[in-house]
Amino acid sequence: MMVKVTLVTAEWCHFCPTAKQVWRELKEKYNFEYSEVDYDSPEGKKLVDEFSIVSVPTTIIDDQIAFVGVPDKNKASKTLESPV
Amino acid sequence: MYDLVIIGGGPAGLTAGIYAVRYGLDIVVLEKNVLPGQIAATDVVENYTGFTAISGPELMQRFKEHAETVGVKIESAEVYSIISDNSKKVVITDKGNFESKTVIIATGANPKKLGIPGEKEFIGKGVSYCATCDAPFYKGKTVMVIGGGESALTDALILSNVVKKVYIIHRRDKLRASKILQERVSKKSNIEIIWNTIAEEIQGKTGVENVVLRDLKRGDLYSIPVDGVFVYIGIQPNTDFVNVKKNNSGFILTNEKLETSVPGIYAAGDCRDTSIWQVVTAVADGAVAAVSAHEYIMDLELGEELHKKNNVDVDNVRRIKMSCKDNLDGISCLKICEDSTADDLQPIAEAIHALLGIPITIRSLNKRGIRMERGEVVDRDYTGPVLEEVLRSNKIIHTVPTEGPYKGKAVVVAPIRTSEKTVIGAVGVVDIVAALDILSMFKEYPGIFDEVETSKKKMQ
Repeated sequence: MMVKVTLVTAEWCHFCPTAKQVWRELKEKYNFEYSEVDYDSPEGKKLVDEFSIVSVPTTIIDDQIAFVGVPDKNKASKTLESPV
Repeated sequence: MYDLVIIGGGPAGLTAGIYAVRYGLDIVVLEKNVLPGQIAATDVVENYTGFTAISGPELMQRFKEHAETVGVKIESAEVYSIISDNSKKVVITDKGNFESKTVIIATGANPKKLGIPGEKEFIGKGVSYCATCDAPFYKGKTVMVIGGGESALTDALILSNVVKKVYIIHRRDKLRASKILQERVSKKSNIEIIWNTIAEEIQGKTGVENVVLRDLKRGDLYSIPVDGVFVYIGIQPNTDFVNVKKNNSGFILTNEKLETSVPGIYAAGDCRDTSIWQVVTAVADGAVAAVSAHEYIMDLELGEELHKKNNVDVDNVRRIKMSCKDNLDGISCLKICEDSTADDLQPIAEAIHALLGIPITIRSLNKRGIRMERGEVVDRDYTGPVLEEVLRSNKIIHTVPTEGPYKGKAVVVAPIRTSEKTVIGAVGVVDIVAALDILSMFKEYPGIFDEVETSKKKMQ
């Protein structure tokens, strides 16, 4: 099964562009399902409640909070499947 | 090879870039974040001259636009280490190696951690270091701010507009923050300051629920229920990757030119040991560091030219200069050859004078020479003190006067130039520390004194 990565972000969050960049760069190397969700969108609000999110960016991988803040690139790549 | 690699694209790094580009240097700024700088996490900046109030991210965006407009190249890369050779630095990154003549470290700092139980476990689950990032998640809740400086009060004020109640925990009975912030805080009915108190533990099940506090006056422990803890107890510089002299907290030590302990490497902004860490000082640092790097590069280029023309051992000259800093009062050189005219000696004198910027005399064994001061030849028939006497003593530290104007200083001799037929030694009066530095540099130096003796014998 493909790894599912969801990045919860906010418009005002200054770390979020860097977190997006980390996952987008990894997306070019690895094969995984990836989406970016604003915390204030209906989908985002659901995630904030479900995972008790109190910080952005938060990365959810396969229904668990994997990273809060900008993910470390090496740690992030380790959580992914084999390269494309 | 770049002239200058700037590590970090915050206010200090980008300003260094702007200045360096104006000096015509070939540069690159390496930055791992999309929107860098601690200032990007700041809600409103009210103490950067020219802007009554501007948001941190907007100010940072303007710096970036300014830098890019004048041609500062910014690359996304994370730096792992710097390898320093005499006149070349190699910056090792996740995007490959960058070779450069000089490096400015402007890597900034991150919030310092409390280091108490529960802190690490609850990062992102109630422990935060940035109110602008996380405040909206605490709407209607109770939070605690730890610290008493500018950042603590600024972020307490941001939180107070969103949450129900803010406790400020401060270990002293006075705040360090500016008066204007203290006044704003005192006007907020939902901010309560708890004095002379430190946090000992953060507790909770899946998220923060309680903070255990210690009253430093009474010594007793008690706890307050909160939903979030925001920590502002100072900053931790991002300097682990670089091997230069630092203070105990890791801040890089620099002189007024922002030179570090390694020639050609400079530090600017929040990563540097200084008295305040502000946007306005970071920006100023960037400018100073860029100008110093430019000077160093000019010296390098001058050195290369001189080396080609006169075979002057420029590296040794530079090492003496670095080692002596501003302590070298003057320098005397001796060209080991039978006869030289002032015209022969002048290019060499100019070379060394340009590099060291101190008065210099240079003579050949016929006891005729020239003296240069402030960029000009002041004496074309110099017959001053006899350097070979000092050289013949066969010691690098020749003497340490116990009285007179040079009391406590050392007269040192250091080899500056060698070629098959000539040796130039330098003698100068420096302080003891500089003398010892020179001694350690040259103790392995082969043959200079033998060459003096051989040349003398041949002449006799």
